[in-house]
Amino acid sequence: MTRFILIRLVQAFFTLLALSAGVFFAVHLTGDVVSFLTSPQDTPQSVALMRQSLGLDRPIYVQYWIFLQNVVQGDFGHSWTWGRPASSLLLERLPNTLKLAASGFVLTLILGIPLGILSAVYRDSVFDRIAKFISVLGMAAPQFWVGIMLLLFFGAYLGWLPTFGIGGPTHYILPSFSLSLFLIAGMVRLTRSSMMEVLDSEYIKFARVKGLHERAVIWKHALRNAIIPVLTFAGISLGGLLNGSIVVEVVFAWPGLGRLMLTSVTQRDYAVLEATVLTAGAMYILMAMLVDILYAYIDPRMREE
Amino acid sequence: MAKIDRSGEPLLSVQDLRTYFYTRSGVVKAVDGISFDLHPGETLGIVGESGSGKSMTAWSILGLVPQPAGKIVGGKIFFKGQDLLEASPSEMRQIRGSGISMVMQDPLTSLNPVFTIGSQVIESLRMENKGPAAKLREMAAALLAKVSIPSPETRLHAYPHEMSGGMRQRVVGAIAISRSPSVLIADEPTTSLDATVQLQYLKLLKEIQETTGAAIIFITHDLGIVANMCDRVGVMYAGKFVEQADVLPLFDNPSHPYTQALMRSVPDLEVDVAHLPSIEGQPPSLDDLPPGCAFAPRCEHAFDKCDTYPDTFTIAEGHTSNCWRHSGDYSVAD
Repeated sequence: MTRFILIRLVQAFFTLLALSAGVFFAVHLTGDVVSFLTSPQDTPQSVALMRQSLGLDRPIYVQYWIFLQNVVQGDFGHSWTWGRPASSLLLERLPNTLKLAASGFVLTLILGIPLGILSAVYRDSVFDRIAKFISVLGMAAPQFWVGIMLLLFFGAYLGWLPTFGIGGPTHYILPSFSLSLFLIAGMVRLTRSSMMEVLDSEYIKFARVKGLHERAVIWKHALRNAIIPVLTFAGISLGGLLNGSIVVEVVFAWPGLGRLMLTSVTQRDYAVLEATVLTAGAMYILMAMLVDILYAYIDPRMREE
Repeated sequence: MAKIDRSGEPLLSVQDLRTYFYTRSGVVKAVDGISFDLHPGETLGIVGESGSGKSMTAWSILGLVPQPAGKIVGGKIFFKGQDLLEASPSEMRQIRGSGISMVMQDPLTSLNPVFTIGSQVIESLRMENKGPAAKLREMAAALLAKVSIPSPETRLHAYPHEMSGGMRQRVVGAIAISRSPSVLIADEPTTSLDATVQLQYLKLLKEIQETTGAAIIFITHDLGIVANMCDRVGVMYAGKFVEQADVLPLFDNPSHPYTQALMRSVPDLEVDVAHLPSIEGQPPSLDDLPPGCAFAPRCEHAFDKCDTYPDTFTIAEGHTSNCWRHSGDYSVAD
């Protein structure tokens, strides 16, 4: 098991390295930074001076090396649009996204998994019908539309819930629900199908033959097997949630990472862009790694790969 | 084979059992009027082609007919005098495992892949034995030793995927007998094993029977196994028994045309043949059975009377066959 974790850590490191290279070079492919920062009236001398002061006159691999060294020390550079270090912006926005992601994730788990299990165990029951309705709705309705409809109904029409920004607990309800509806739908479908497959298996029949209580058959024998694909999905979902949803953050004016990323792209604010993408990527990779480890913990067959 | 005492009360008595499935394409009569008695220490073979209702008979006895499509619509199942069809779910749970147990076809998938062998054996033991974990572990190891698993203590920590098919089948056997059931159902337990392991496993089942005195219901399509293992045989076709007899009379004097055809389809190793004999035609679809004898469409002896379902004719004591040929009317046809 220790060996398994070590291998996954090394793999995560290299994936992160590849991501940093990808972000760095992709940003440089979008055009000459200096031409963006200078005006056509500037003399060639001042342009050259600017290039030199930013270190952009040096070979690209040297620039990448310096970038890496800085990143390791937590320095992503200076934001041109905000006039602040990108890392301080990141630290300011990240908690908001994390909080929203956490509430969305909790919602996904507490609604998605039990509903999926119930609808698989009690096929064609009322649970099953609710589950089918939610999964079709969640899969089909686009996130921005769900967000706007919720805003209109609960915010504008009923006036029960705040419609924008961050604040007390009530501010979380609408954004986290619109954020997670798609994931809940996926979770319900996946849990249901995974559970149904497992319930049909011979070892479940044998567990019943042994005389086990139906509770033990479902919540111990079946769930532990059925949860494996669900876990992967949960991990990837959380990875996605942590990156911040651009759509939901824009609809609800949520000051998070997703919106910061979007503005940095439109403003060509390279430092912020690199900082946000790398952070999002790192969290994604971390989640994938945690899922793998948890996976190996649950399913002994995975440990031997 | 020891002589079975059939004078006493049967351990398990199935009377006119009917298990139907209600599907979109109609009612599938998977088990349609099965009756038999099983005495202590006896081995009953249920023989038939796939889909003849053999397994569903077993599931009906265990009260585990697939829901919601399947339903036991008629009959009685007496186990030690108690009607299982009237038993409550918790009574049925108690009977499963401790009274009637079963080993299933596929050893590769009968064990839960994510739990150790030990935890799966102990889980079954714990239902009956309250005691410290260490004592249960000891019992589990002893149980594995009983089914000839080498170094049982270390095996307790193994996961199913770390064992061979034959080993897993033994573990399944160990779990099935862990609570000393008096009836053990073996549903084609050797089909997925290779020939050498098959033989060992059959021997193991015999040993289990000798040490525990359990009665066995042996579900198979292999007449060779029946000849070796069983005291009594029921030949099943389309949800019904078409012939029942003790094993020797059945092989000496197979009376139902289906039984005869089955026996002919066993290849004789001494004789070279160009084609392996088989039974012409297909088994009938259970949702669309002919009103009379279900075997008639494939039967070389079929005559006009076969349009109504045959009575049960007694060939000899304890030997019955459901075929009109045993009535006086057959000689006119043919």
